[in-house]
Amino acid sequence: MTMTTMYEIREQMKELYSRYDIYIMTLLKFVLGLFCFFMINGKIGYMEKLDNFAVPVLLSLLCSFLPVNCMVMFAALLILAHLFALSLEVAAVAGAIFLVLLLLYFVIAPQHGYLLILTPLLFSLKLPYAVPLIMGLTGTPIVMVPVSCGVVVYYILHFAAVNASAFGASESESMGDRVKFMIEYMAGNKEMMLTVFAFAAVLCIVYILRRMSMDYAWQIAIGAGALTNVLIFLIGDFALNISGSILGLLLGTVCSVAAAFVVQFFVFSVDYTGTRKVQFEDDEYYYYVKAVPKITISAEDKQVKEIHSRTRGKAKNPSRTRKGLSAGRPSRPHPENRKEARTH
Amino acid sequence: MLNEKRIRLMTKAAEFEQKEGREAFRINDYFRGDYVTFHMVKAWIRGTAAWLILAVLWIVCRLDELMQNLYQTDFAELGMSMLKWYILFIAVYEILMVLIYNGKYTRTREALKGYYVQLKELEGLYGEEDKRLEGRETTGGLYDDDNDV
Repeated sequence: MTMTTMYEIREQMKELYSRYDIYIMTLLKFVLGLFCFFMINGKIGYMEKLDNFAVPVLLSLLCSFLPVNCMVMFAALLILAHLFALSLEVAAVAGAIFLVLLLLYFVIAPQHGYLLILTPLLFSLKLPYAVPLIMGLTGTPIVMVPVSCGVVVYYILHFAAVNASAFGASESESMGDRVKFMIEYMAGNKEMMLTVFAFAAVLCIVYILRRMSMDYAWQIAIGAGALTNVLIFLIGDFALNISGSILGLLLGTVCSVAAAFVVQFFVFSVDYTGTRKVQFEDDEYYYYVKAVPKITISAEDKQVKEIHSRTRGKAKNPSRTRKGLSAGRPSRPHPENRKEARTH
Repeated sequence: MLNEKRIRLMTKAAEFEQKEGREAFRINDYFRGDYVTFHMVKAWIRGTAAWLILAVLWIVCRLDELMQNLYQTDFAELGMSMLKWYILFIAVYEILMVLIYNGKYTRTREALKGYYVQLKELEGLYGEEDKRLEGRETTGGLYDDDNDV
């Protein structure tokens, strides 16, 4: 696939998004919801009533019409329900941790709530390193907070999945012991701490480098971020005596770098502006305006049959913004001119 | 009469009002100091609640140990230690809040400045049109640009 083809695909995607942004966003939310709820059920599906095909699908359908933060809320409730079926104590501790996250972070910057879902999801897909790389490219350093919260959520799920048999078998253990077991796991989890630190460092490095005024800043940022990621995890694993898979780390980083390059290509210098509708009024009229982004013709669509000299009237080209009204001069040639070109 | 430039400006202004405008107008009602202080107070309440939850979890975790050493435990020292952690926790959280909300106030003011420039331009266009239409009733007939959009 040549670069020209990729540029054409990007332009077509942009055009498609500008026309059908509402449907595309709905579909994306539905797919994200499916992945998220099936991941939760697959990992900790302890409540039989919720662990079936219908619940994730129905929840995803519901979430596709609601803001992303509703998906976060449903996901948290689903996790708590499953954990409650496993053990009341685990559910209580997880609920307390969620409440702390809500109080300290979620109230301040709810716009990054989707990261609380995406981070655990990418952990499950063995691509966690993509999160700091991509968020460093597209976000600001503040996103390290929701990313860290996402890491904590993943380790709660991981804890419940790994220790399910222990909680099921230890009927004789007291409530305090179970709570202590989970809190000690969460507070003393070196792997989680290392992941939070590594993600924060990678995110900052990628963010700083991609903002520098040098050639190939984005590519350098991705490379440096990936290198930092590998180094921190390797050094951390040895220093803290964590048994991590080096091959998994390298493969995961390579795949994450590929994902970051894809995102860089499709996000950098592309303005995915959807169709917008606004209404307002002045003393004389009510205005119902539909602002449609202008469409750039891709190379394949351009077919120059014959070059005509410009007429005087057409030479006028008032500068217009992207949000300009649909009444503006069209980007495509006038239909009559096109017809004329074909007949020649 | 419809004026294309005016409609474009009004569309931009309406878009701003519909999206970030709502919150921007609310923030603009405050002075910077009041806005940041108000959020610091809210953050203090939230931070205290979060710290209490964490403290309860810690106490539950150490409950057996505390019960066993009930008579040997120096509760004054324990209380002071918890207070120190609380002050440290709240101080860090409040500093973050000051940075976040101060930045937010600055950004909002900048966005509102742009919005007010648009409104001023819009007002100018209305003024121009009024000037142009002055005396129409007495002179009668069409003006050269009446057939423009």
